[in-house]
Amino acid sequence: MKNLGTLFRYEIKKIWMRKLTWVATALLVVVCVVNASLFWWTGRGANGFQFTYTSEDGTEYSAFLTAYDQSTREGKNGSKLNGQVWDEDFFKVIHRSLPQVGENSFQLNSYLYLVDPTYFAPVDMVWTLGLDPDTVTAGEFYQARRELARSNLAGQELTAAETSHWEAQAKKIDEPFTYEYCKGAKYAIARLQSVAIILPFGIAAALCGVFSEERRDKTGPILFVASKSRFPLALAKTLAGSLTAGGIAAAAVATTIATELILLGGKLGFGTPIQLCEPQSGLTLSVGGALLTMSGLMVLYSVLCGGFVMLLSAIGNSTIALAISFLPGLAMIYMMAWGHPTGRWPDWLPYNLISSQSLYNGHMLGPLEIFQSGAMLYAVIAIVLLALCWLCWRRWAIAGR
Amino acid sequence: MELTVRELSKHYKDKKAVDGVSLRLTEGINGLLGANGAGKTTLMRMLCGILKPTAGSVALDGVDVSNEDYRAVLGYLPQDFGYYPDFTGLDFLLYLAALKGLSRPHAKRKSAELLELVGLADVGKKKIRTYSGGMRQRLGIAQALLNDPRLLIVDEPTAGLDPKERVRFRNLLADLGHDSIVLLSTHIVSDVEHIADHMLMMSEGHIILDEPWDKSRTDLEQLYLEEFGGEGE
Repeated sequence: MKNLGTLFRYEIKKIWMRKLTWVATALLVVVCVVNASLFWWTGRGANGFQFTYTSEDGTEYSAFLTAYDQSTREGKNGSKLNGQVWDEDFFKVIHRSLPQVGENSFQLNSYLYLVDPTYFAPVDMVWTLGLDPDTVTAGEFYQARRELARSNLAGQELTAAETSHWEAQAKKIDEPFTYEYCKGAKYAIARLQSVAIILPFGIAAALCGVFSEERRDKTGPILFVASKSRFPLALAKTLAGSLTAGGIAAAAVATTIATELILLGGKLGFGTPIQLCEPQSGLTLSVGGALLTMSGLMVLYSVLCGGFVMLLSAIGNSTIALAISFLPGLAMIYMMAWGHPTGRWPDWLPYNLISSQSLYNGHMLGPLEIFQSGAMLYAVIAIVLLALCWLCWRRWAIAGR
Repeated sequence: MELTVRELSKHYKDKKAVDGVSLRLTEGINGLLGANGAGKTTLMRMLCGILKPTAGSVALDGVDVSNEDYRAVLGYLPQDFGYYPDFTGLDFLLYLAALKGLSRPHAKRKSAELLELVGLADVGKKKIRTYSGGMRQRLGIAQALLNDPRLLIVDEPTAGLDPKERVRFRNLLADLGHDSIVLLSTHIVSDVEHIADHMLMMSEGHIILDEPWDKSRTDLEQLYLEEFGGEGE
């Protein structure tokens, strides 16, 4: 395996010498920025709500707030609660700080938007759990969250083994929660789902020539006569293609996360438990852990896509033919995305797995949780595809066709 | 040192591109003349191990063409020399040197030497897309020499070159035949008649002339015309 490093470097260079690679990557990054900032653009429109709040001393506050305005007001003060433990004392402070508006949630909502948004996040969460922010205790809050998680799992028709696994997991979740403002991270998690759909386009454009260029540009004879063994060259190509695919995925994921964090407060909130983003989740993950897990899955998925594209390029030498044969795969991804929400399609498919829904998915593959089984599955399929690349390319290279 | 070819054939569905060729080649320039379509390129591709023969064998000092040790001492410049237009000449040589198993320092030293030898030292760091046809062919011969080959196979190396470049290329090849087997295929008589030590002529997949060549002989063109009716010149 002499000179593998040098060959790998030149294979990377060959991939990135192609204008199509740069154009596809740049386009993908732009699409990720647009996708991540859609809320920011559309939220500024005329659609919004007239909020009105009258304080105890009779002062009236009123303003028309667009979705963008509402989000900005949440974010502006969201980080004031960073580091606070949501225990009994915390909820007592909330009771003291909020105005007594009875069950008038509109008044309370208006107060939070127009007067003091500090407690927006806990109030929002309490409402999500169907509780009253004026009276809720920490005990009730955590009990309601556990109930929500349980009823979510019950709705998924789990096996007995799956149910007992998640019951055991639920006991490991640390309570009370320590809060960090994490709206940017929450939105980033939600946006990764659409990144998983557009990513294969970029990968296909970048890697369509990896194993076919020798046939097109007639360098094959020189390369095959030069190499004592063709395996290091194939391995260098495979590694370069995989790294490029992973790199493009990393760029797309990083762009999405960075855009969301910049637009939605700039606070990471990576340390906070995932339950403060998705209360029904049974995972013992932090928000950062969830983002990292999904990013890792995205990279693995992109290597899998890269393996598929490279295999097609090892079989045929026409970029157009490659693009056409890639279309059915993409069509399937779109069908999954738009036609069949989670449930009808296997959980481990990228559209379902790289999504916020997977954070409270209770299905398992054998003893593995959904993220673990997805990662294993993607890695195994990618390795098989990359091995097939070598076999197909070798067949052509040795036959000299 | 001897290249032995025994009953080598390549048959396609309805055509015998090479049919039962047997040869013994030793050090020196071995000219292979033949009209277009005579089977020269097919023969050379089989001698390089990049095309599987239908029958027959090729060996260099007993080492079979399929053996890695055979490729280790082989240099090849194909008829359609493919290259990466955005690589520099130096990068191209370093890449192929890595494929040939040369260590990085050795590859750097050898590439610089070869660029000097073929007169490309001053443009080694320029992209190949800026090279003329002659410069590309010289880069092609440089890559074939990276591993100090004992067997050098060059297929129609002067195709598309202007007369000045052809002479330059011919002289370069003549120097290489002193201690290695050089097989030079062409359909242009003047490419080989004054530098070849051994002459082969090929027609319709068969070798029709296989004899030591006296460089002072002047009847090669006549022989060629008799066989091919002036297709070459």
